[in-house]
Amino acid sequence: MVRYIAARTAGAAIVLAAITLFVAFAIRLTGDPAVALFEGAGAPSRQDIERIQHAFGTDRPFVVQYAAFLAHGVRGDLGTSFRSGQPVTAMIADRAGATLLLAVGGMAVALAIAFPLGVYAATHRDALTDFLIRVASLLGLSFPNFWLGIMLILALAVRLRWLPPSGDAGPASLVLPSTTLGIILASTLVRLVRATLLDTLGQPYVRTARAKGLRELRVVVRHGLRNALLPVVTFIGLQFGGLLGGVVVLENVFAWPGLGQLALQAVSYRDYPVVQGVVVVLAVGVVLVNLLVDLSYGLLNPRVRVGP
Amino acid sequence: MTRAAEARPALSALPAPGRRRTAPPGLRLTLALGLVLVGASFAAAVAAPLLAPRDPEAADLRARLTPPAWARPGSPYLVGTDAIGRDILSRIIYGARVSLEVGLVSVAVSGVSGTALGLVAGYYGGWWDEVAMRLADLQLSFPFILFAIVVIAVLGPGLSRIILVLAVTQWASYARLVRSETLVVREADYIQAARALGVSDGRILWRHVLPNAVSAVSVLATLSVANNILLEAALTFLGLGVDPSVPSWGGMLADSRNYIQTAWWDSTFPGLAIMLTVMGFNLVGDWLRDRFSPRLQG
Repeated sequence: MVRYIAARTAGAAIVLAAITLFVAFAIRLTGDPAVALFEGAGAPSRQDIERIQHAFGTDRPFVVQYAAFLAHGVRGDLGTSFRSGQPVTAMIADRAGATLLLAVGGMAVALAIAFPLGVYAATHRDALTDFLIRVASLLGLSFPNFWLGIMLILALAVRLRWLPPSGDAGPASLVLPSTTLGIILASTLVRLVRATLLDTLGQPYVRTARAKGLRELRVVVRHGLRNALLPVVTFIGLQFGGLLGGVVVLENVFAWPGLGQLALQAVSYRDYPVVQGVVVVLAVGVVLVNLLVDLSYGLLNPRVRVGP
Repeated sequence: MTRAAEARPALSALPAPGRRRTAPPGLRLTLALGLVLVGASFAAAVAAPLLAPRDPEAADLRARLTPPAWARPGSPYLVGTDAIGRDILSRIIYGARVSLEVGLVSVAVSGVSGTALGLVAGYYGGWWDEVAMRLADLQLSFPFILFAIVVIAVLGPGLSRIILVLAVTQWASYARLVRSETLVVREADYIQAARALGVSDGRILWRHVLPNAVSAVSVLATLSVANNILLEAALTFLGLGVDPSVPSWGGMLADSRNYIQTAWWDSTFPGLAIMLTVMGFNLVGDWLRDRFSPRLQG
């Protein structure tokens, strides 16, 4: 087990090193931030440029800059925004809560949809249910998430006026974005819940439980669902990267003040320290979640420890 | 674990050999629907100048935000006009070009390069295999949206950049898939025989190894076209994608957002076009998967 933890942690560290290296290198390619600072403000003198390069530290070799970025980053210093002059860490801290709230809300909606439907589909195996599940998950896979968001705004906010269309004004604002995210996530999750539950319900111990005369509900919940949970939880953990994609897009649709919006605005302002900071923070989050899922899976299921 | 062991349960589920497996009628119907949808999007892209009732760029401010013809009888615009009076139907028809171009080109680039890498990695093994697979692991653990944001931030938005981002992020899936298929047949008797006859490695890979991977690759490629059309639309919607002056479905949806209170048709029909096209590719891909490689799930 120690070897497993060590190998996985080392793997995650390598991934993080590669991602930060790529991001830092790519951002340096965008040109000289000292020149960018003067964009549209007349030609700066050579001394001005050199002074600012020195202040930004961009006159040093890339390797040194990268090392400094990592050293500062570990201590929570991700530089300052070109545009606002604020520390990037503070800007991220300001927005991270909203992103997390949306992600958790979307996941909660997805679970609330996928579990009952998946269990129902697995316990009622007939042509009609199977067909409906297929159609629903096909729709979920074909729907652009942002368009689903727009359509929900159109129906529930513009027509019926039940919910605010966008922004962040209290709990009601969270309903539409997290529902949109949840529906999209649920369309793949339903299939997984159904498939894993069918798998566990076919196991000999479930037959034994039935033979003992346990009530069907108890068999499904205690013996089936409980054992089907592990792969489903793993899947959810590993979906975190994909979930992030949905969050970034939906933050934009619903003007939700999260990290995705911060990054997109920074891209349009060419505010590279902010782009770099947000991308690195989110990548660290995704890699850590994946690592935790891997480790807990190894802890719960000894069989995976021998794998590569 | 070898692939043979993995495949065993699936094999036992198949009907006895000698009896040809026929698709259930429902499946054939979904294939037909998928082909119709894909065919329609191709037709729109190829014959856009013939099919579109108007110039997709022609703005007519007097006709701005005209509702669809059935909502306002006598209106010449079948599904209405946008905020500067351009015909939405014509823009949707022309928009198919962007979606299909991005979907097909990105899949072709990532599919061909990933397949080549996977063939070589699986066939020769050794350090090259090790390097290629570790790179694939790295690529797959970098969340797509973050990669896209960095690349677009550096290179700027545009059609070619979108294709680049999609191709670079997806070669790894093909490489892994093809490598695993290659490992299975590498030691097979007919490969050994070809080698003993002095057939060159290149020819063995092309004639004897690659055909084993084609069905799995075609399933992945078809489903990826669907996925890439969605990703392109999302990136364009976010302003990270195709130039706003080119008619594209994601761009139309982005433009429509300011008029959502007044013009529902402006944000409804471009999305419907995306959904139907993507659904078409998904249906065909699902059918291919059921037909050729039931092991490839989701």
